[in-house]
Amino acid sequence: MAICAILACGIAIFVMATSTLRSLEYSCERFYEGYKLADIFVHVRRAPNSLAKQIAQIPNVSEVHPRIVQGVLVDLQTIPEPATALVSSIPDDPASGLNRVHIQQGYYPDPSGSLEVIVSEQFAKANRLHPGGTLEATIGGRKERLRIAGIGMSPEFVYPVRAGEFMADNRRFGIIWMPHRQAEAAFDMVGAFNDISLKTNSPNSHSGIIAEVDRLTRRYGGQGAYDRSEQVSYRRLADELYQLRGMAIIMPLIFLLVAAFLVNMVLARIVHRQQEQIATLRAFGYTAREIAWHYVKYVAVLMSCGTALGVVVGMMVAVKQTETYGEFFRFPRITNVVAYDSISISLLVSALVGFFGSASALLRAIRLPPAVAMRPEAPGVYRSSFLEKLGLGWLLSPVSLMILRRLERNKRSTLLSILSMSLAVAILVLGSFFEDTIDYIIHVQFEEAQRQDLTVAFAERVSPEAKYELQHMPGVQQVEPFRTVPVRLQHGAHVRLMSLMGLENPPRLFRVLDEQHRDVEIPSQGLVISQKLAEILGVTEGDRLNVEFLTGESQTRSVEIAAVFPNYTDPVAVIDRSALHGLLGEGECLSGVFLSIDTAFEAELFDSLKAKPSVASVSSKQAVIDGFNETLAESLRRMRTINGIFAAIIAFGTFYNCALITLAERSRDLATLRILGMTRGEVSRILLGELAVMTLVSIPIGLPLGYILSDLTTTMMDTESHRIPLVIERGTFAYASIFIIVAAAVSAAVVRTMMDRLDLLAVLKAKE
Amino acid sequence: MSAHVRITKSVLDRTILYRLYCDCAAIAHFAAPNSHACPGTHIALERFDRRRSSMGLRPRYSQLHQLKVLRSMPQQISPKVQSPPHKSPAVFSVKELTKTYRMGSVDVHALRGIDLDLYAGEFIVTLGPSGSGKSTLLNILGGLDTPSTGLVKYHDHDLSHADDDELTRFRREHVGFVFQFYNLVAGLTARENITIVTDIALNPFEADTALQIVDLEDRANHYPAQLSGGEQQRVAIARAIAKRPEILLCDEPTGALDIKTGIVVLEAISRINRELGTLVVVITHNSSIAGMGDRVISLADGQISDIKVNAQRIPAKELAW
Repeated sequence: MAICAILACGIAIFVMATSTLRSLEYSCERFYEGYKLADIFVHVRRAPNSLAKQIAQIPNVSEVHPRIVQGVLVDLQTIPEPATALVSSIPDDPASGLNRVHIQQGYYPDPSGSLEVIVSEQFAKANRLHPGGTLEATIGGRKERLRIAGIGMSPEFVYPVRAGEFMADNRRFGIIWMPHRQAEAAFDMVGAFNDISLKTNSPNSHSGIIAEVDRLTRRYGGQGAYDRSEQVSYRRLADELYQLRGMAIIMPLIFLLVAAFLVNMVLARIVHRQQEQIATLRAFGYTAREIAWHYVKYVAVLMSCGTALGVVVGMMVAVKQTETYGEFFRFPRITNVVAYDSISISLLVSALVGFFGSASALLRAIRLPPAVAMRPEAPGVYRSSFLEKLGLGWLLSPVSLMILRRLERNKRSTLLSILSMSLAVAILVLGSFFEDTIDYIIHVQFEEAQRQDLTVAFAERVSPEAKYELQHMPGVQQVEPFRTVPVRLQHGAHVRLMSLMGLENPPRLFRVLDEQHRDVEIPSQGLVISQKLAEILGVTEGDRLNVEFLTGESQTRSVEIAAVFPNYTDPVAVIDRSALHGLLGEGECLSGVFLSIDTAFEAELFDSLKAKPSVASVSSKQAVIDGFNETLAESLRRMRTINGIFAAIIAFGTFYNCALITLAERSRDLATLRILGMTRGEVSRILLGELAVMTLVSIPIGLPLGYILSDLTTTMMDTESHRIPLVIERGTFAYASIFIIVAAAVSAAVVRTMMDRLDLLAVLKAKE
Repeated sequence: MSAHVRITKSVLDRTILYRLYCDCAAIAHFAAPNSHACPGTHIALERFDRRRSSMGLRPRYSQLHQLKVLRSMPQQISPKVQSPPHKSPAVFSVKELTKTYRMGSVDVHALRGIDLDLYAGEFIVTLGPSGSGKSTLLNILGGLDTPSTGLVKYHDHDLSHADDDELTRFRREHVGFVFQFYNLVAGLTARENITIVTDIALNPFEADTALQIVDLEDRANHYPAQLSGGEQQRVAIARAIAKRPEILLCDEPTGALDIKTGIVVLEAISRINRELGTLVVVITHNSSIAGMGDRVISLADGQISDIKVNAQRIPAKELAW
């Protein structure tokens, strides 16, 4: 029964993790296919509709979908600061075009009626917006009241996050889909578009199509075409699935390993204990093969029960788990997929575990001549323990000697038990280090590096006077302007489309820090890029990059990389603002500003910003931190609790299993000692002493193991959008050690109760 | 003085002398409680000595202790004289003892009204076929089990109503057990097998002394796997007597041994009974052993069928089966 449970745990986690992953991948793929996620995207300043026809002529382009995409400020009751929404135009026919919208509630707006929109589901949920309600947005400098026709979702925004942000903030960022004709009117874009999506026939032709699209859109302010893999939501989701895949391997692997260890030990023990029955059957004339077959069946039944239980539980939990993920990644429908290959692997693993667990003991039992096997077992051969060999034997009492010598004699099971316990310790470290890491990221990113309170982005570049205008707004203490330009960075075959950020020099609010949290000097010429970007482009300090400015006129400059700095979210490239103006050959202008403010005047400031037509978005650092804490802290706590439970299961399972094995082997000794006058407490100490030694030894092994596994996890989770530094505080190690000691103590108490209930006299009689 | 000369001849005699000293020490302790720092210190220092002896060093404290006891020993105390069994008060007094087990749906009446008194220094052989109740009787006398009805008294203590802690203390302080299959701890050497018991005893022998009593001092550092069956059983006897029990209970002590080895083991038990004055109860199927006992109690169907008193005990080496 115990074997079944342990094995079931390992298999359940494995099946759960892989099935969840498959379900997400499948649901996501179906959404992309069914709602026609585009293959290539490009944003332009303004282009006539005739350009779309030209693009459609490009070979291998099967469908084009020109639209209007524009950021607007939304005034909501739920938050003081203005939220940002991306307005995206949709065709009249919901079943046409690309990046189609799935209506979850309400209806698809009628373009011939009054101005109605669809709001993205998560944004609506976070801000309690419902069909039939309204929301106020600043469109083209005017405040417009938009009626909500429906709540929807699109494959383009499965995970709606703004580039550069660590995670989605559904309260402050959302999508508004507006009928194309009405969007044309609202944004003064009649007969024109500023964004186009393409569907292609062959993924291999993408680079050619992108080059052609870039050529065609250049004169219309094309900001560089990119394929799906660079689309924000798609990439984030792909990254998340990649991370999940990592987690779907490490955790179940640990569990299956522990299950294998324990099953191995228990089976070997069972067969050993049944040696006498085997001999009796052999004496009756059963052949070795017949007996072996009996055990094969026995082990097969045991393993099948464990596997079946694990698969069923795993699949049930997978459904729940997928639902939880579904809260972050929105699909119209989540299809639960059974990971049959994982089940096959599970079957194979349990078969191997069962085979290796019983094979050696069974072989030994069969090979033993029946007459020998039926005799009472001769006392085991023991040797002095290593402490005695070191001359420290005199320090040890006979009870300590019993413990040490048995541990040393049963090297294999001792080692496996210690390894299991170490893995429990490692799981605790693995489950907790994320909190340290996140604390570190928050500290470095939001306290050390980013000292601004608000980031204000303008819809278009503005003149430097805007700085002074903002300076005089209520509560504004410091203003630091920046300029961003879409660029294509190229080094050899490596290309990356992104925003190049021109900063004040030296920056005081938006700082660039090195590993030691010191300011990185931004030179008057040359780029400073994040470590991840350096890896993507395959460059280091001193290399030169081709920077193509996607601002209408094709300008490519070769710029030297002056420094590389660590950063934990999307890749970043910064440059001195004046140098950027110089490279662009433009006069001084701004794309946005960082503000430090007096929070007492926050509400007034927000009102002033909402009233400013040039402002496209306002993001508050505190809101990001709060969102971080709300979502992440909760999931981290959950992760820690789940890992704690896992570790406790492993610790208890190992402890209990060891106790049972030791009790089985030692029962005669313990019964004898009880008869000779030892109290229950004294006898328990012998048994629990062994387990205590194993627990204490497992801690110094488990902690570095946890470190290694955490390191492995950070490596597996290292994606473009998230770069996780390995930070483990001493407190986490202390937590893991104390947790395991407490878990062991609780298990010891259970084992002790079990021992108290044991009729030792009966044990002695049974033996005789 | 002549007595001293005589008793220092053999190791066994030395142990008797030592026991005597310790008895005197107890008397001295009761007479003048402040003469020792405290009993705890005494036990701790004795443990220290045992560690020393396990390392091959001479014990320190017990030498000093013996010297001190010797000096304080009242001259009028003489070695314990073996009085005829039935004249001294009974060690065990058993009245109308019954024991019923529930085996599945059947009640098994293992003992059906036993009345028996056992005296200090007696050698009792209990005979009977399987299922006669002899093991049950031994278990109850040894504090391993409690009767269904009736009374078992150890001196003035009622064992029939004692709880687990009291029975454990009783076994720990007063009873030595010898089992059919020796039951030595495989992971401990002969000496350590004894030390593990003497560590929890109040006034034990040195482990080496106990091994000397059974003539196995040269096997002290051997593990059970390195000893023959007879040697293992002698180590078991040494372990049983090392705590100086008042009672030695032996459950088929020769059951797993050949005749030659069996006789060596019985000789050891007999010597302990004779020279330490320990009440010995041996249960056996083997009626040949009957001659060794002062009394032979035969059990059948849970009742005493016969009690035979041997006028003359036959030495173990003269037994044959």
